[in-house]
Amino acid sequence: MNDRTHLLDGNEATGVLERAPEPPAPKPVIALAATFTIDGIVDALEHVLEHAALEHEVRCGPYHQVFQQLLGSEPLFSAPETRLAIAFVRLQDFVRDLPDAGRYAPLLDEVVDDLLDAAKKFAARRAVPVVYVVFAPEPGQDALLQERTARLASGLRAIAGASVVSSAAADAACRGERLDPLGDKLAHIPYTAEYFGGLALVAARAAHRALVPPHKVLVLDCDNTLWRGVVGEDGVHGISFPPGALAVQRFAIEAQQQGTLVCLVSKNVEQDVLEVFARRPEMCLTLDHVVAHRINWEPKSKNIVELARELNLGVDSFAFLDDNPLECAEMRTVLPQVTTLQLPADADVGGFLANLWVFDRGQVTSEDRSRTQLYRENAARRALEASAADAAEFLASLRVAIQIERPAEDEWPRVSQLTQKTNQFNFTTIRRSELEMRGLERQGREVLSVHVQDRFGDYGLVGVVVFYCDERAVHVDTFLLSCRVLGKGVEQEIVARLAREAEARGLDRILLAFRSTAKNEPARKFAESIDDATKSETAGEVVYSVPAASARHLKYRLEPVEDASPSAALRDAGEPRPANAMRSIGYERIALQLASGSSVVDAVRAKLRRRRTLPTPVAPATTETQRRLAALWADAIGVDEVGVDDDYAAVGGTSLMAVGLVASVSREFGVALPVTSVVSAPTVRRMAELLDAAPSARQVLLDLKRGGDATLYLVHEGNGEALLYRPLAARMPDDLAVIGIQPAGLPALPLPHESVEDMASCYVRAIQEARPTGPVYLGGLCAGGLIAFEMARQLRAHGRDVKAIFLIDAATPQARRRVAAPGPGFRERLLAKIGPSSTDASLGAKLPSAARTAVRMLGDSLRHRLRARARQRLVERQFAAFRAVLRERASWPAALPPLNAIEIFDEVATGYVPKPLPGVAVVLIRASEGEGVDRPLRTVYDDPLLGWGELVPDLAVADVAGGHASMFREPHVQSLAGVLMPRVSCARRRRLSCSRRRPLRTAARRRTRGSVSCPRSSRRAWRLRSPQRR
Amino acid sequence: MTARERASLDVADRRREAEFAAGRHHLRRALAELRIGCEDLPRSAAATPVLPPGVIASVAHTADARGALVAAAAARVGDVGVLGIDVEATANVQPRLWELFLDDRELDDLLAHPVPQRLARAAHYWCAKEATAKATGVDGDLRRIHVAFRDDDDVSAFVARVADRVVNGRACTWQRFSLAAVATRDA
Repeated sequence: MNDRTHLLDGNEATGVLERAPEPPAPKPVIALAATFTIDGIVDALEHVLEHAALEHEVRCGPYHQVFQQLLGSEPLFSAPETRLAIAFVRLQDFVRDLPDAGRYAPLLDEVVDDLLDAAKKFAARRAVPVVYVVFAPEPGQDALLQERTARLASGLRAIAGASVVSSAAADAACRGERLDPLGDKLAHIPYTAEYFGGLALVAARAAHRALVPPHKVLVLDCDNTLWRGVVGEDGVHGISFPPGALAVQRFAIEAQQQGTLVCLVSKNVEQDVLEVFARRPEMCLTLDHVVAHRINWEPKSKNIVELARELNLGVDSFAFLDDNPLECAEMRTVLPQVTTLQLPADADVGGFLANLWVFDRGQVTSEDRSRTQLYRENAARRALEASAADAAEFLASLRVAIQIERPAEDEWPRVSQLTQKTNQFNFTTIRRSELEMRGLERQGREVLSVHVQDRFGDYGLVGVVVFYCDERAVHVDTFLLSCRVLGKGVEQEIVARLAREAEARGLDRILLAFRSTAKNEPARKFAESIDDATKSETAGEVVYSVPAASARHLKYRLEPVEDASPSAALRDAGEPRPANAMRSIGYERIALQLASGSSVVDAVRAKLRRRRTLPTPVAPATTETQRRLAALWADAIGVDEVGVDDDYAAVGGTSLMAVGLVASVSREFGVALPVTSVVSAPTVRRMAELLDAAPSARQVLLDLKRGGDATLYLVHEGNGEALLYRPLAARMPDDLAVIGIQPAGLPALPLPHESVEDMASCYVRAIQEARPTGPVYLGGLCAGGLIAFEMARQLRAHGRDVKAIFLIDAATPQARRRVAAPGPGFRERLLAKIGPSSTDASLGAKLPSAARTAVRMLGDSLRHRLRARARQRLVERQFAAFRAVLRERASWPAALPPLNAIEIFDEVATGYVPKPLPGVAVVLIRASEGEGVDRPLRTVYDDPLLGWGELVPDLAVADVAGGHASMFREPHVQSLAGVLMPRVSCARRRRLSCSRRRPLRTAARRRTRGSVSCPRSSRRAWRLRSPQRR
Repeated sequence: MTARERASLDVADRRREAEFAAGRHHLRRALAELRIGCEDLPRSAAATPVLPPGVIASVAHTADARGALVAAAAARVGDVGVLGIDVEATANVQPRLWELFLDDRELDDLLAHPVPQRLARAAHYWCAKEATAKATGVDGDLRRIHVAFRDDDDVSAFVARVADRVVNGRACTWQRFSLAAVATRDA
């Protein structure tokens, strides 16, 4: 063997390479682990993450190693490049191979405990956030699983750094089939591609929530956004509130309650808009929810810059929602840093907002909930500041109270959040997760939180300091303060406090590390303003050294905060950051175009699709079959379009794709094509012809033996099997062709007919097409005999010469079955259980146990009846699906077990009443011996003529050696062939060899709804397995 | 890719061209190892390479969402009777297809293996059968080709039976791809 391999880079080769190209700079990784095969999610997840501007690589850990990942024996979750881990957990997977709840209950408890323990250990060990996608058990699964799943979810929620998402969100995103029983059985891939698409959306949203800080401000347009109509023209009472407008209001309220600041920006007369708020009761959004507004005729971008200045926030934390494409375009051009979202048409607003990730927050803190209040108090403070005679007086009048202390236990999330979100007054901008923050103390660092309040209200926790001491000085690695409290002497008080810490330890210096960013000018300005501070620079880091002695008396000096922060906001505005503009589009696409699992799957497929490159023009589809087929071809081959005359191989089809194509065609059309169809029908046109033709050409006729003009057709038995006739066919005369007839079914629909008549007419069509002339003999075992009888009628209607019908151990649907002796009644069974009672006294003594027995028996019988009813319901659902597939070409629901041929036949045959057929020789061939699966029908039915006597006055009857099944095998088949031979070889000899019919039984024949085919136990033995037919 | 090769190519598609060029490159290298220099290896009407006399060869391509793989093998007639090679990206051999190319025994064998091994093993079955089909010219239903891996945990050697022929083959995994080749001494 002499082989060489090499990689082509992506979809388009860049040339011939000897080895896989070295990967470029490694992307951060999102690591996946699951209790089932999750690999199918990767492409979909990466696709959605791209839209959310999270350019991460998605990597899957090995199958079913969630524990190992959490405990670190598998490396992926703990790898340094992993920024987020997602664990998909289905408790049912841990007890997949255990049959009953009794056995797995204790195991399940252990699994839940161990998982929670492992999750805690991981949180303590690694600062990587973990998203747990917890799957609700399927509706049919038992209560124990449901309960344990709930316990697992609530336990995980309590773990710091862990977030829990329920799979229910993915259920909602998946409109089609969710479960894939075949994939589950074969490779533990329990879900369809579409559901994996839905899961990708859920997982990506959770990742986005964990990794991307939320926008701080929602800026709302008013006209046609909060209401329908233009208030300036239609008047306060002329506007309306359709559901979409109200959905926007509720969305804004919810965002506001979770800590987003809501602003209004509208081109209007201010009074008009305020009047709507005051006078329209439909408004659920009130001015209390709104922190600031700009209602004027200025460009909206200018208004947003002003709002940024007023709120002391950078414009890139703003999201702007407007219905008007022009306004959105203006904003995207002038202020690309703002995330601009264009509201869709009213009908789509609900879905759009539900899938808008912009304001998703991981943890909502109490500061989040009262943020609007805080910002509003700030505005009041500024008003006072403006009126105060001088700054000192102002400061005194504020009555600022500052509290600097170690964070309380429940404050850690907020402390971490501050390090993540504070940009302006932040010396080093070191972002730390909650887990990292908590870990600092263990590393000998001290953490201080800063609380501030004044006469206008409580600001809450607004500042964080992290420092450590060595023999030289106090080193401050984090010093940050929310901009809301700048200019009140808080920052000075913090430095003074640090000076006291230094002196308490006998140190004389504070070293303030400073790393310059685009936004932290206010922090630098403050450091520069400290008297006696000296500055030294090493490797990109500036260190301000402040003598403790002078720092401890540091006091607020007149330095209005307005100077620093707004300029930062404005400077931000001057630096376009295209990433944010891209993000706007990404959020919109996710909300509008990737809202469902199937749209994600379609988008991923479309990305991999290449253009058709044949030089010939595309021949368009002209029939419905061609159109559907061309779409399936394009999907299977992965090209954008396929003409109906394109050659399969030339357009890019491979042999593996052919197998996939056959599978999807079978599913879509409800027809089992041979795997080699693309060889015999290499164009869409040819394959469509195959599908449109009567089933004959494909599959119905099975050549058992070649011969002359005369043909014996042997119709499949109840399981759809016709190969069993082969030994019989081999013994037929040379000049007689023998053709087996098998149903044109497919795995989900083995017998695609709703009546015996329909079945027969399908087979007759096939015969008329393939062999339109020549004498016809018909026969069939069991169900096949009944179908053959109906076919004879139809063939004669076509003018065909039907010479004889062989009903081989077959009964009519009306033939009465033998009734089994009735079983003992409840009373007899109970008495038998408790034993004979000779006296009243002994009965009295037995009463308690008798009562127990009676209750148990009643319970058993009830359970039995419930089970029977459940089975009945299942069968009803199966037949409803059966009819939907036949009539509406629906596909078989994957969650429903398919019907087998015999179940379908039994159901459709009950409605069939055979009609007399004068002038055709009919022979009833009966099996004579056999037990169980091989039991002859005459021992199953009351009527020895199996219901045929009345229909066929001159019925011939022959008994052959062997049983219901074994008569077709050696050595019995000889006897069977002996009955057929004289009738099919020569008409003159026909009458000689079969026995005369026996006298009719006089017993009344009532119609029974019984099965006309063999006893169920024998059916299984009947199903011949052959690798060609599955 | 030479001018004649380019001319023999059916469609002008960058990806198809790259695939074709890579296949030819490796075929040439394989021939070079047999000390057979060969400028032109155009494509015949049957889509197989037009080879110098006395040589048999087999080329295979596959691609998935992340990339493509090309493999080529060549041998002198006389050293080897039949030769077939196939590659496939493991993820492409989806479980829904398994029943359509595996016989009962093979499917049972697959299910007897732990879940994480099944996808790769199924892909090995596929490649083994395709390589056998290419080598023996038996087209059509791959369920008529019966493959048995010599070892439960090791897919590196297999025996394929088709009609009355028995061929030996080797298989391996490379990154996320499966690769199989069969060769026999007599034709």
